[in-house]
Amino acid sequence: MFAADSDAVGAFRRIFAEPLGGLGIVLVVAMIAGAVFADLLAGADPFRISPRDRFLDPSLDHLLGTDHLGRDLFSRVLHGGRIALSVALFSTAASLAIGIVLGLIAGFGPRWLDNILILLFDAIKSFPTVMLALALVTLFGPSLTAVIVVVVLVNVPGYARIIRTQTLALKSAEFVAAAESMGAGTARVLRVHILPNVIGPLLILASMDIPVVIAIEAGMSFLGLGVRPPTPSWGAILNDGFTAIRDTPWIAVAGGLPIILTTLGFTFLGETLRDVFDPRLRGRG
Amino acid sequence: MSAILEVRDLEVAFRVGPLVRRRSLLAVAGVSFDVRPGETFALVGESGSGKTTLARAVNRLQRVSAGSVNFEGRRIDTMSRGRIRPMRQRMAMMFQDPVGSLSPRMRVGDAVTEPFRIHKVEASLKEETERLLSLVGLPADFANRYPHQLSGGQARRVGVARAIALRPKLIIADEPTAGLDVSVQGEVLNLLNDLRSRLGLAMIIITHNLSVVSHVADRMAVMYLGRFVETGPTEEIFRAPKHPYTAALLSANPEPDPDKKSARISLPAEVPSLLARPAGCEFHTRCPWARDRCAKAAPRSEGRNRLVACHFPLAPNASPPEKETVQ
Repeated sequence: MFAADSDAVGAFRRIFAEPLGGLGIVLVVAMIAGAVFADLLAGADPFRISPRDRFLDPSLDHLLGTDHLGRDLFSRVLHGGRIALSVALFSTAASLAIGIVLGLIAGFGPRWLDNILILLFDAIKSFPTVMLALALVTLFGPSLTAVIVVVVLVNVPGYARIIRTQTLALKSAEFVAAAESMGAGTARVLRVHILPNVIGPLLILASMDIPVVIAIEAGMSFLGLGVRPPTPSWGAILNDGFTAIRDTPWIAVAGGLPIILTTLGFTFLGETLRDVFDPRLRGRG
Repeated sequence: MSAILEVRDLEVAFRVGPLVRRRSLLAVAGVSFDVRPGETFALVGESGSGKTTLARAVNRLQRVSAGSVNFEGRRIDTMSRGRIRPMRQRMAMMFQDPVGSLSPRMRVGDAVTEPFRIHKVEASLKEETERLLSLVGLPADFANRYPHQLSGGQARRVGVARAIALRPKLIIADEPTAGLDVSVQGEVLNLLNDLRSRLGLAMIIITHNLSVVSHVADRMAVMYLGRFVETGPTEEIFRAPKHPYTAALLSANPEPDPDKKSARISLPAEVPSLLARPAGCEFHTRCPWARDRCAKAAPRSEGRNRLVACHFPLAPNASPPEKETVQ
């Protein structure tokens, strides 16, 4: 009912004031624009195979050349950005939603439930990411869903723990007792009185996890555990380039450079966000 | 007039210690009192005497171990969580920390209208915000502020506004003046007094500040180790305390008149542990008037309007016996 003030605008200005933050925004915006307008920008069909145009050098027709099947690499990179971005956004959103709910339950609920959930988080955390990915792919087969499930499994325990710890600290705060004394039910206490106070650091952490997620997607696709060919993915392009690196090194560059730039962009942005919103966290993780 | 709140033999027990040697601690050990509509009832006592626990138990934030609490004629201590929620519209609570009892990310305007949203009361929230803020003497533009932008006194006023939002019948105020400057304390107390007469509220005020009690309370109870040692009309108790503990508390209250002779009664030793309650009268370890019988038998609360739990109630203006006669 009360209008939001200009917090967001001020934060945006402060992000741009930091050189790395500005660079981060530019890289991230470029990446998102490339992914969203891939069809417009690319010109060529990323799936069209043209055996006669195999391993073409970069030219005006094919800005990044073509791969071993004669597909336009520039178009494949842009469309690969779509995959990377949608995996990153979807799986991060899912991890946040699940992590917040589980964290609130663990922090606010009864002690035994907290213990069970903590045990579960630790059990999941004890698996190395690649092992987890391999295990899941053996179960379900390589697919985009497998990538998302792996990312969610890897992220949820950390998110839930952050929410849990803070919820635990607020559980006995007077404003929580005040809400209860006014007649608020547990759901309302959690949603209206606790969540806004615990979500800040988590959002910053999640924004810093996006490059990790992109790297997981690329890594799994590189290993053949992620998206299925012919769907374009940066990891898959990198793998294609890897086999032909002696003759046509630009393919590996076309797959690798976007991974590097996007992860750098999101990392710079995340770190600046963290410094702007929560200076206490500076120098951590 | 019948009481709005009836508390009978209320006990609150906490279980403390490791699992193998778990012991029960009675924070509130059998307390009875009534609060009538429009009346202000004060609970006085040292830190740890069980005042806050008693208030939380009355408001069902704390489980009651024994005894009963009746609010508006209905027993609420055994009521289910779902059934008690509507009752909370008519019983508001104010907490000790003025700023800490407001949600940090919630603007003042949303905080004072939160009761409307909780109970889904149809109202123009904007109008209600203005009405409530003006009722507690805050400018309307405070609605857009966050709690951390408020001073202690302002935050307390917001707390008062939130408490009276749904026109409750009873307000329980836990240390309404804690953490405030003396001048602001006075303002808040005048505000509470004013609202009480305008809205016909009953109030329970918990405090260790006796000046507050004399300023607002009609009746008072003095708590010691979770029990009432003396209850009665505030004026009578201030004029002639009958329990030695009450007398000691009153004598410790600063006296504004410098010419008046102060006869301060100092109490030896510490407050006993709730896990090792003294036998007999629980106050005898610190009582300057204690005699042999006090260590043996627990006194019963005697009287109707004025209850005193003491074997040897004091005469008016009694001064403590000389050191040699103290047991």
